[in-house]
Amino acid sequence: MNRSAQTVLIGVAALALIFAPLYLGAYSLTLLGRVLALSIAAIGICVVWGRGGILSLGQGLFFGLGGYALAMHLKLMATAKGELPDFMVYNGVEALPWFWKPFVSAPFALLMVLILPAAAAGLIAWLMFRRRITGVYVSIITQALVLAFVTWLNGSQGLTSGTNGITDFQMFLGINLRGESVARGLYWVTLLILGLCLAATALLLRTHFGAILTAIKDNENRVRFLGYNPAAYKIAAFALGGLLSGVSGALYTLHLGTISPAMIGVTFSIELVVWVALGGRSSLIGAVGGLILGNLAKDKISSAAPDAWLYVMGGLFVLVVLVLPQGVAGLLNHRRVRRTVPSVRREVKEVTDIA
Amino acid sequence: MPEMLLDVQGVTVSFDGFKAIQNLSLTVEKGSLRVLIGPNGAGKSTLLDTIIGKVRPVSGDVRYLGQSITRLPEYKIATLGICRKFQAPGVLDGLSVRENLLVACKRGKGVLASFKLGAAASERARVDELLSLTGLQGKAGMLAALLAHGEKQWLEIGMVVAADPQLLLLDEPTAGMTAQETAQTAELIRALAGKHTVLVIDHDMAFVELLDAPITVLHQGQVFREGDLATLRADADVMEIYLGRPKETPHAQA
Repeated sequence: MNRSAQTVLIGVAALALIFAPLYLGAYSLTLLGRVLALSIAAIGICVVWGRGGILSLGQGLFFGLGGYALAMHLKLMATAKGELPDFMVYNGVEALPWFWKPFVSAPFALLMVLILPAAAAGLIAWLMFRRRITGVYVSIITQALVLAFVTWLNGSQGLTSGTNGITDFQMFLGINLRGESVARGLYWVTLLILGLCLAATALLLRTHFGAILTAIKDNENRVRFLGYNPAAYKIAAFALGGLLSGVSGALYTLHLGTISPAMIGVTFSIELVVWVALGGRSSLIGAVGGLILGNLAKDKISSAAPDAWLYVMGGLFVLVVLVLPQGVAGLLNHRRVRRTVPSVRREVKEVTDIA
Repeated sequence: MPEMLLDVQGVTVSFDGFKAIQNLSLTVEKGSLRVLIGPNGAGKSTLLDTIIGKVRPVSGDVRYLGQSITRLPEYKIATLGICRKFQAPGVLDGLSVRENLLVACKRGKGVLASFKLGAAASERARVDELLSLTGLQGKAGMLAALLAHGEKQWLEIGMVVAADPQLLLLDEPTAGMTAQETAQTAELIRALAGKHTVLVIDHDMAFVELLDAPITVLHQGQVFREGDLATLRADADVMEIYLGRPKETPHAQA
């Protein structure tokens, strides 16, 4: 597929998404909005894994931090002044825990949606990459961390509402979340944020930073001995991935009206990676498209045949690993790469002819 | 007395008890071209690894322009002006030839400095200069992964030279090259020698002859001999360690 066809395709998809509220039913629109929110996390995985070569199986941790940061504010907004959130009362908590207090302020909560996931990701990355931990060990560590986070959430009934998660939201920034037109507005806000994140990341990857990230994935040692500190670049990429996951988590929480440990765990984190792999991890559009289409398919298939879903997903993942290492996006770009290869072959042939 | 650029003082490197380098001392004058030879396992690559900080010595000191660099992080050693070409071509496969050179010649290597689109005019000019130095002008837009083996070697030499390091360490730059490519490489390196201080490792005696430079022979992790090629060729001990021949060869028939 050539570049102009690609541009046209992306343009059509963008228009279809912008006008979706005008032709989609309520259920479909909610589903699409939710999936768009989720796809912001895919941008992060594209940067961290597709470009940086760091496979994190724990993006749910940062997604959860963003989601919980917003949920805590929403919960306090839904609670009468001077009272405790309902689940704290049930669990015999007598005073609002210290780390809940500042979340009364919406600006603080919104800031935390950005800062908490980015800082957590940056810290984890600093601990790992400073020690030059790479490859499968990074995957195992991140997976263990998300598991630990979920376990802690589940165990801290009185602080986080445990397995039930935080729910029952009403107001956000003075808007009644249960109002009539909120679904549309939220959809457009989500689409706008997705568009901004996509554009900013695309721009970032075209800078020198993007080139160094690809270079580190190809040959970390060469980059190091050219005078770069690869750890610093990997930490920055990982923090950015965490930030995008956090934004995604906060938006997703708004769409769903709840967040719970079950939504952000190991399975969720792996699913994100599977969709990105399927779409094409090194292409932003591939990663986002893969996640959107994958989740829409999941909705259809899992409501038709709930038991079959996991097998379908597993099968798709095996297919990608065996046949399409660069995903569907890689398949579309395949022809462009192929075209340059025959010239090399021809040169080789000429040489052997002479010999 | 000429100024010393590199001063390796009594360095010992040990891998789990095996001493790859033993109490090795070596000095390299500024602006000189020096060739390191020696049989497999003599410690040539390990010596370069030690200079760039990839391997840390158990004792001894590596001094560069009078400053000890033995404990500096690798990327800082590189920014001081020491750059090494690895034995296997270490180009960045996912980037184009031009991007490879640009990554190598950027001045600011920090993360914050990297958030910039495009390249400065001076950097673009430098890349063009390097493209013509390495003869890769015609392939500037090509992915490095698609280059032929010899071209990858040249590209990496270009990358190593890009930031104008004072000390160039070249580890078997002609590995896998044809005779003609080897001759071109020798010419390229001799051209670099005036501007940079160059330390070359190679096995290929034809190439070493073309370089026409003082030679240091390493053997079992130590400096065994120093001299020019003619002297060393006449040295029975050198021939013995190099070719593995016994000293007395009364029954040699070939």
